[in-house]
Amino acid sequence: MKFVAVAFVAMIFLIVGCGEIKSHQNSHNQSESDKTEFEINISNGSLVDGQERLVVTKDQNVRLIINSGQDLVIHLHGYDIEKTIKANQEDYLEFHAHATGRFLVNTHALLEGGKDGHDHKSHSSTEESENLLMTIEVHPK
Amino acid sequence: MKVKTIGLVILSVVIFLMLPTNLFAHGFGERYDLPIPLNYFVLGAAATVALSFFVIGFFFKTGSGQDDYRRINLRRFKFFRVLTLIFSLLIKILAVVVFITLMISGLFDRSVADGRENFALVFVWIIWWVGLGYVTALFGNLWAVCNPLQILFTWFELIFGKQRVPILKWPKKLDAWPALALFLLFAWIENVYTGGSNPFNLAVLIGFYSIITWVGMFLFGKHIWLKKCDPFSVLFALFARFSPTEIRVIADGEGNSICEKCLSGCAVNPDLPDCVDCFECWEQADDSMKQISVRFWASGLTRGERVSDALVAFHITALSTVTYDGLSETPFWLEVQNSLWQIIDIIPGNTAVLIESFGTLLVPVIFAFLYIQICRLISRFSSDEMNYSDTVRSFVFSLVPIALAYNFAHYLSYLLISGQSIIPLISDPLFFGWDIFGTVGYTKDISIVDAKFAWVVSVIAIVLGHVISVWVAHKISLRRTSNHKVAIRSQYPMLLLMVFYTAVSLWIIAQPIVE
Repeated sequence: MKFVAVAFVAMIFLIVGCGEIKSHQNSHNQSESDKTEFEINISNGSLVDGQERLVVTKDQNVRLIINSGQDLVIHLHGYDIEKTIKANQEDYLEFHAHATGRFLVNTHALLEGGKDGHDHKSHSSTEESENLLMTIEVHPK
Repeated sequence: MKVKTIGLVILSVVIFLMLPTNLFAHGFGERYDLPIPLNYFVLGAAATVALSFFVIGFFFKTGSGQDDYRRINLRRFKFFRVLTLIFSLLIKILAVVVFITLMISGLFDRSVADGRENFALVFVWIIWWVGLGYVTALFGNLWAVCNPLQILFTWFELIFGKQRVPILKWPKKLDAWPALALFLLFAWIENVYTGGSNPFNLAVLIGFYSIITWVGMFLFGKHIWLKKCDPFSVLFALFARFSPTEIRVIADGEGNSICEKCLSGCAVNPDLPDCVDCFECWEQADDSMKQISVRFWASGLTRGERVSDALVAFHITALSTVTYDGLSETPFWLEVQNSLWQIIDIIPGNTAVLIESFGTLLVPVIFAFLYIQICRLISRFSSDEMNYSDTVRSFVFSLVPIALAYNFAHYLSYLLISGQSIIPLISDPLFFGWDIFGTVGYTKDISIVDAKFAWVVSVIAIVLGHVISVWVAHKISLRRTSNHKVAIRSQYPMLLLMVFYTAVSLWIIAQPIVE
């Protein structure tokens, strides 16, 4: 009898959990948009204005509107998108969020001659030259 | 004097290589996992509790623990025997080729100059360390067949002759404690040491490990070394107990077990005289007594063998290290680091490294303490039908399914996404401009695993792992107690530990990963 009682209580949790999943899905269906824009301001490679964690939904088109006080390279990991940003010139980093997950956005300095100071392919021992700016989370629909 | 000098030089090189530069540890590679949402966590936890009671209360009303599990011997079919011979030979050649390739790739790394990833890093940290664990648990002990160091040593024995008796006798008191020490060292390299993600350092470490292994095999005997000192052979053998395949040497017509002649010390179970998964016994046995069987997953965990204290400690450490791997990336661990920082900072050395090293050692100790206390309770709840010592040595296998399930959940996305890096590398591992398999141009597809799919699979895997663990513990207790009621009563403490372990596993995958 006690086994049935415990199993019954657990089933209540199961039913509540299922309800939560359904309502979660419904809220996503109602908030679709064609393009999602975020403004970020960077100084000395660090975020001074803007969210440190951006959350978007899969298949959204995302645009980061970037202003930086210095020349730098901004790198979106996973999607492997890099953009060179000139000081005090508004620029954009755009991508289509086709893959879910949690992706780091780093900055690194622009060396003389326009070369970036980062081995963006290796991901092995050169992470120390990157500065973590923010994370972008792409959630499923 | 010369030996001491050489030893000091080697030690200095190892220490130099181990000087950390910064704390980018955790092997190699990037992870893009999203933490599971709270409702998935609640569902998983609820299902864990509900199914536990359901399994105990309704599934095992009767049953004896003395029966061996069902299996099918495939070796009785000639076609299968021929197939295994061919497969074994091909896999051995491939293993040696891969080993040589990764050593060259590590020692003469050109990945940075060429703007690509390194074959040694990708293969060792993703394909071998993560992928082989999956293959072993789901299919069988592939490492026992494809261990390149063992293969090369065997070929050496074929050419120069095999020693009938080892040069040195393995000290009985030493047991498998060296395997534990080396495993802890590896866990430290994986979780703390930054140099492990440098190809040259990795190749040097593998080189040292290879030399030590070959010398050990030469002095003490191949199988003894692999069972007592090689951490990976012991670890993959543990995973393989969950797998659906086994090698078996059946007892002779009079019920005598071949294990009595085994130098590497098989665990002898008087209730089950057949020898399972011992490669020394397999090599010595007559062909008519050998079987390669398929069985249901996790059956191999229920045999009721009693392992030594060293192997209990090894298994507990291995299981807890899997958990620590994920725990170390949670905000909770970051809080622990921050609170310990000022205390540890006064000790000379890199503070972050010291804290991570402390965690690598502390988590197994906590795990072992909890496990031992639970075993005391099991013994008491069984009205002492199971003594404390036997309980500790028998029930460690019951935790394996939970650990494997968590490992599966934790690394699934990592293996499927970062593991794709091997695809272009297999066509040109040494950057000679080859394109052997036509895959050099392949680019990683990060959308191959959707987060929702990963969440569902992870929660199901962890809950399933828990249910299997409960079943395994129950089967073991049936072997050790006089009746079903005592067996069930004795399992309440273990059930508590399993629910806790499963809840921790679910909690970890629900946490955001901190950098």
